[in-house]
Amino acid sequence: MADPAAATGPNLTRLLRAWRAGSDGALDQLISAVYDELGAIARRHLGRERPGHTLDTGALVHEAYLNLIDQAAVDWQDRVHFFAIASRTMRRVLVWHARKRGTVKRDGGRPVSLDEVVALAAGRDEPAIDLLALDDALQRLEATDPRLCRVVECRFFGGLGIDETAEALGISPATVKRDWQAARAWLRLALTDPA
Amino acid sequence: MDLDPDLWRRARPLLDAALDLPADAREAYLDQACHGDPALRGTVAALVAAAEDERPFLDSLPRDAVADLANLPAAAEGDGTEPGQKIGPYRILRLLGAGGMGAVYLARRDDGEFEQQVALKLIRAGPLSHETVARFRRERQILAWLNHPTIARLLDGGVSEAGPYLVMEYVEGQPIDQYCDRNRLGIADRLRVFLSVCEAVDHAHKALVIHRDLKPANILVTAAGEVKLLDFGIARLLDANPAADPLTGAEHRLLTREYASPEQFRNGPLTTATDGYALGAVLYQLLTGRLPHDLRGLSAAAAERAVCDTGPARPSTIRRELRGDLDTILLRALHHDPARRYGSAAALADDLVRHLERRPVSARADTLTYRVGRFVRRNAMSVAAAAAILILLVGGALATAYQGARAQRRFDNVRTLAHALLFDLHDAIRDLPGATPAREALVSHALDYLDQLRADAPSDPALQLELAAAYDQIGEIQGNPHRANLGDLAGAMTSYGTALALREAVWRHDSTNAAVRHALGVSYGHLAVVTSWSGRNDEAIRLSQRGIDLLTPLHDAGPGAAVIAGDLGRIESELGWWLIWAGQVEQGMAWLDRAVGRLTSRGGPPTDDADAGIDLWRAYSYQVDGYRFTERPGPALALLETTALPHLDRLAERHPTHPAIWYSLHVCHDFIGAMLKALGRLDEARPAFLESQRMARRMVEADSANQKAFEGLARSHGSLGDLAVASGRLDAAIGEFEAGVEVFRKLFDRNPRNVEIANMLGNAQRRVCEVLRDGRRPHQALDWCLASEQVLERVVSANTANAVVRANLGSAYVLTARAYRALAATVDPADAARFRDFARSRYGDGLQLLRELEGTDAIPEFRPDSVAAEMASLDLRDRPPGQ
Repeated sequence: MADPAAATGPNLTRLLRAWRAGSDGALDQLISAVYDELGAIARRHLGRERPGHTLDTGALVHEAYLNLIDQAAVDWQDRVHFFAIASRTMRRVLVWHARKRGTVKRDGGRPVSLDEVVALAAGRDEPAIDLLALDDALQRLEATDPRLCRVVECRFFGGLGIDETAEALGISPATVKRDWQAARAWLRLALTDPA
Repeated sequence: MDLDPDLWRRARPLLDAALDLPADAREAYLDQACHGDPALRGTVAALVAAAEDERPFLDSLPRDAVADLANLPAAAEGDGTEPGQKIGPYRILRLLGAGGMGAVYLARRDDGEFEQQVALKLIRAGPLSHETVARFRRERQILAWLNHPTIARLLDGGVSEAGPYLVMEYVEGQPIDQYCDRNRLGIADRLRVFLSVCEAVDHAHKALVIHRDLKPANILVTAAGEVKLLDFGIARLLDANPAADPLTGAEHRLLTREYASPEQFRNGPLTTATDGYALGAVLYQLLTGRLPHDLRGLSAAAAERAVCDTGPARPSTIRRELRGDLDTILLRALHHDPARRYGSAAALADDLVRHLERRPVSARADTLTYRVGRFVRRNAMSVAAAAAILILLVGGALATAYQGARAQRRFDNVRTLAHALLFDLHDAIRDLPGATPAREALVSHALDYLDQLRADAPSDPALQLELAAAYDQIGEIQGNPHRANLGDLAGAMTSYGTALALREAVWRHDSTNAAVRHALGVSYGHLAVVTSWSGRNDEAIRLSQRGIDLLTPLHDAGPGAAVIAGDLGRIESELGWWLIWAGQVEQGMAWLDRAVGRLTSRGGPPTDDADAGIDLWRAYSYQVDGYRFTERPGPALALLETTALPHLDRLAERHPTHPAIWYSLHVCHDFIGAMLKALGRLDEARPAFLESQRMARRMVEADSANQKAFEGLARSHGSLGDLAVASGRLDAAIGEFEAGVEVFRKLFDRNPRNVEIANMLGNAQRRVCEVLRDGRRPHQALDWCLASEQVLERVVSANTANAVVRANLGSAYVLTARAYRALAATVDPADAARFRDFARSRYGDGLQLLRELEGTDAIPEFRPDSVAAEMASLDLRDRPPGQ
């Protein structure tokens, strides 16, 4: 059915390049690889359970990068794209978990219409805990100003610094600073004021 | 509360500015910046307050969210779904494969209702992206639409704990390439299997579904020999507006690059022609055993270049028995320009059937169908838009039929509107620089209306004439070489031909009507011009003589005499020019004298009417050609400097923004430079060429859609290059020629069927090649020869009928052979033998073409027997000495 080669160990560097070349299939494979790796790293860290140590996503992303990308073959563009993807993956993962926690468990085998699935996946009818509300607000922000949304993904979900965010998005650090400030202000208004 | 997007856009710069100021300066700044706009001021103030809020916000992720990370289920191995597990009413039997979207399992319905085995596609139960979910939904919708025995059917869909899933018909089979190889099928049997694939794809296309990822892995053949197409998962409904569909935007493309078309690499509009290309790639692989492009190890950019800039190797160079039809069919199917591929999978299948039945294939003929299709698809018009127009037309006609009594009034309204669009509005913008695309849109809209009316009133002669006038306008915009045009010569030919046919029909019923006679005569003149520019000079001469015969009896009849004299003079001067090109210089010059007399008969050279003024200039320029042809640069220069240039200068003064006058000035200065150069006055020639180039630049800047402007620019580079050669400045010459080639190359990519451009490009490339060879740079010379060959091959593969281009291709092969030969003299013996082999095969190709051309009106640069002798001398040298 689908390309069986895709199931065998993906070379992330190659996938990144394929994604840059426009392969959406490669993006899905990338996300799934990054996703696995983030989980593995998180499990390792929590297993150590050092008091006072909070796991920050920036460290996760960097560690995933070192583990996944062939350091000998990497070029700066790969690195840049990796961080952008990892931040986006992190957003999806965390929001997905938040949604799952808030979701009433559904009947295992009941055939549900696909529209319901879509509604479920998009979380329109789910209770609002912070991450979900944030994700919703981000989707609206994205419609108004997609770059601000990318900055929030990198800074908040990806835990990237100003300079790394600038590199990942191909904009200047000064722009990242201003965008981050503006995005925070926008989101604060969007999330705190009642509709 | 979300901010209104518009308010946000206005507030954002003020927010940035305010935050840069010290806190105590902000109030004053906002008062001033938002003066009179309290809503804006309130918003910015709220944003500033939010930005300054010290409470933690988005500083770190919630602890429980981070802890979630440790609980991620593994995404690989198809979600860990195990054999025996139940998904909805289905029991998993085994994993069939996993891809970007999820895993596919073999499954069986477990409730005793059916004993059928199915393929169950499970979306990965990780975080679902919106894209993935939307794509999933789309796949289901599309599949549900398609019902064809050769397309794997969608049976069911639902959601389980493991995630949403689709259930499809399970196909037990092998990918088509493996099937053909394992069963050792010959060419004819491979074609027969492939015909079923075409049939399935054609069915999908008729349902307005494109596949976008056709490849052998998605085309299975069952043990019974039945073809099944899988994975319409990335197909896109053609009726969705591509621009408005975020899912088909750049980031969301899916492609298997070995089978992906140039437009997929370049992110262009995807149409059924995209699948047509993939079909071609699959067939290429089935027949040659190789992919059209070997992309292994290539970077994305290199792969894009390989697919978009180079054609695949001619199939017969891989397997000799493919020579002929299959070469032509595959190269057409894999054409880089979607408009030049087969119009449908059915058309491809049709040619394959013709080939199997040994009938002539359509790819070889310059068919009317192609031209009509080209007309519909002109420019970037997608199949979707064409379909939409079709629906509009059909819908409109039906509505008209039902409107009964109201129909007549609507008819008149539409007609008035179309007339206003075509004649009043169009004429108002026609001569403005930059108006070409707007003119095209305008005229094609009007044409749509008129076509609709024509269907309603097929026998109304006045309407037929109006429609003919509309087609004339379209033809002019598409490719009248004397006006700002889009360079679509084939389209222009169709439009002018339609106009002529309409007028002929009216004329047959009413052959006493002077107006009809006049219009018909002019129609012949138009068609003659584009015919000549398409390389068929004799036909053009015949057509223009028919036009002159129709107009001559009218020329001193009544108040329209001036108009008729102008039309007649124009056609006569064209005829004179073509006769000169056909070698009948004296006769041609006589027609030109007559034309100039007619065009200046009413009070000297016309200046008020720009078109009439330009017609006169053109007659002068043809006279110059007559002098050049007979190598009389002196009289040519005198005519240009004392008569033609002053006339154009007066015209330009009177009509300062008229692009055709700029173009005329460009040509006039170029001619003056060329004559000065011919007279050996090289220092004076350069300023003339530079002035000419300045005019061309001005046109390009004013209207980047005007093909003639680019033609002019390329011409100037060529002229300056020739001048540099004459002055012994080789590097400067190469630079100019290369710049010229670059311009032609762009033009050619835009209009690959324009024979004139192809010839100009081929000639420009050959010129570079010659200069390089003379400058003893054999490697570079070879590169240019190959490039020239490639361009001409493309044209020939789509337009075998044109003898002139084929003659040029024959010459190009011979030149390439010589280049290889020259190179062989400079390298190791081992390499030299290889180069001589290349040279031999090029001589052979050239010889074959040149022999085929014997007895046609093309006069090739090389005679077949001398090429054969040259080739034989190569073999002599190959033999070891002393034998």
